[in-house]
Amino acid sequence: MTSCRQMRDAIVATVRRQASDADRLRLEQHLSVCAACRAEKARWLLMEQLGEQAPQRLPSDARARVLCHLTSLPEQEDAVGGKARRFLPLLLASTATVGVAFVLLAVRGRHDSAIGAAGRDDAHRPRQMSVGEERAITVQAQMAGAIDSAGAHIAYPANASFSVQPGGRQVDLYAGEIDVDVAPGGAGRFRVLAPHFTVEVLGTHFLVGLDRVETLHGIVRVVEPSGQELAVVSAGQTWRLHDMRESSDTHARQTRESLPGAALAAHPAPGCPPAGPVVSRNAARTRRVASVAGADSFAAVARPVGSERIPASRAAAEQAIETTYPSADQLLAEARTVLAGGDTQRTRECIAGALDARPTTRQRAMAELLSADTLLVESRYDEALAAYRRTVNRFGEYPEGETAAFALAQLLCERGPPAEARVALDRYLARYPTGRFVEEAGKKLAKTPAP
Amino acid sequence: MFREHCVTVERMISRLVGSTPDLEDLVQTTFVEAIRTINRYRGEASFATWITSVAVHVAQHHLRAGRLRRHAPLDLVPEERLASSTPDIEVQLDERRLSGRLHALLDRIPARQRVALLLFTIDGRPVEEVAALTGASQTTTRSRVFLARRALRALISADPDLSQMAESLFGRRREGTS
Repeated sequence: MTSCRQMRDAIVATVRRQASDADRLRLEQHLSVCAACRAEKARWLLMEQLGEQAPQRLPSDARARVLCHLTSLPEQEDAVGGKARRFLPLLLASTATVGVAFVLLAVRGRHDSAIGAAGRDDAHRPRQMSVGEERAITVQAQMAGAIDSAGAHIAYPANASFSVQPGGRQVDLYAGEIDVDVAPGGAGRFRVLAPHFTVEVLGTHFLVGLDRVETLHGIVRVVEPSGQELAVVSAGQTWRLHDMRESSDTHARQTRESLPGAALAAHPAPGCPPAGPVVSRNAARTRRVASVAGADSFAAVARPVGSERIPASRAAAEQAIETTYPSADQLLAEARTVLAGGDTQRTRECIAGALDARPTTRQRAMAELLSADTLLVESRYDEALAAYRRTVNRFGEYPEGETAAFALAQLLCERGPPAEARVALDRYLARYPTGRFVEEAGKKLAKTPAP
Repeated sequence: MFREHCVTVERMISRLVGSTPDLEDLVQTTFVEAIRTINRYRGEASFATWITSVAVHVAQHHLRAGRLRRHAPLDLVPEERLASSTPDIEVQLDERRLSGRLHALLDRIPARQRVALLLFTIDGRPVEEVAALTGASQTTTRSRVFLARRALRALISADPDLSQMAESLFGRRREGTS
């Protein structure tokens, strides 16, 4: 009788197709009586199968997205910020010694802050400098104050840091937030350059921080340092850099992609290729403009890239749309209501609108569950099953995930093979032992015939 | 760094986690971590080894967090497999079913054991290397591989269908090659 230990080598050799016929025969005889070795052989076969599987590869656009993200890492900014903070005392000491700055301060008599001469180390932030101006006023505010420059009134709180060319229409913002009131009719656009974006205005009142822009009056345009438009912010609106980045969130992207018929433009991070299905910039642009023009209440307010001037009527229209912009919660509630009435098309529109309204993860879970329910209402069972599975996999820890898990099991009980239904019910009971549908799942399991 | 080591990272994560739509996120996280902790790279091993160890940790963390998603979107299915002209579609389908079920079994093994097993058995790395990549001692690594093997064997024994599928696939492959 051959021992199991002796047979292990034969198993490996057989699986790797290196065993002789005699060895194979001996192994077959042994396997016919030894369950442990049968399991061992199966394990080897399966591991070989895993080894032979081609590794999953990222498509080139996904790689480009990753690379793009890496090149704009906040950690890098932190590192720079950290260094800046480390050298801040030195910087302050050196600027304090520059007599010219103090002279300027005394003459102008408008600053409550320390003012340094130009020459601040801007190596990491290449910026345009106004032609003909030799010195920039750098403000490291220790207390709140305000200055006037080229028709703009710039108010700043303590800890704000920025520089401005005397008489120039450009401000470089380094830290904190500034309140800029630009009088209309000045020569050219007034610009505030933050590290990651530039705000351009003709005449308006707005607040700029390192990561946000809030328009108090009129309308401002936010562009990337490269010149690409990021947003147009009307009065009463706030644009946040964080939102731009968050919009590339994978879950939201995939949920959007999964919605049948949902025509949504992806919001790539600044300078990044669009996530998900490739949508031509022109197509996305046209869609956004169309949605604004058509006063679609779910459309994000945006105007075509490249437009130079914003007519007052247009700004008012955009503002009106923004005022009636419903929240993701409202849209999801509406989706539920219209789905109950059987209007699946309208449900999809509401879900798409909710996904475009900066939803939370929980709201995304609701949207995903609703889209699965929509498919079920349309009797598209296979797609509904897939959608429920997706919801369970993505949002299993949320109540919507639990509901989807049970809905999946229920649907399989009704339409799928009993074996799969049993597995789904088992999984539901294992994952949510104290869930809302435990009793019902138990009953269904008892009724489902074992294979 | 990204261009040079992207394939290595993809391969490693894909090997450890299996087919997942989270691959992009995991690759990104690996490089973000690598950039964040680059100061810890002391040049004792090659950079590829170091970044592989970062990938292993990211994959392990992902597995431990239990946030696995198994439905790979179409754009993540390797093109060569989609465009394959192999006549035996059934074998390919069976392969896919089998690997799906196998990954489902692997999901039930503790992440550290699973990672050690895959690095040791599938990647064929020696125990010392697996230990270095996972940041564990060699004894711990051996123990993890042993426990993972035992757990996997038990799971396979409890699922006779799986053994049959593997046998049948293996038989068909052997016929195909002979």
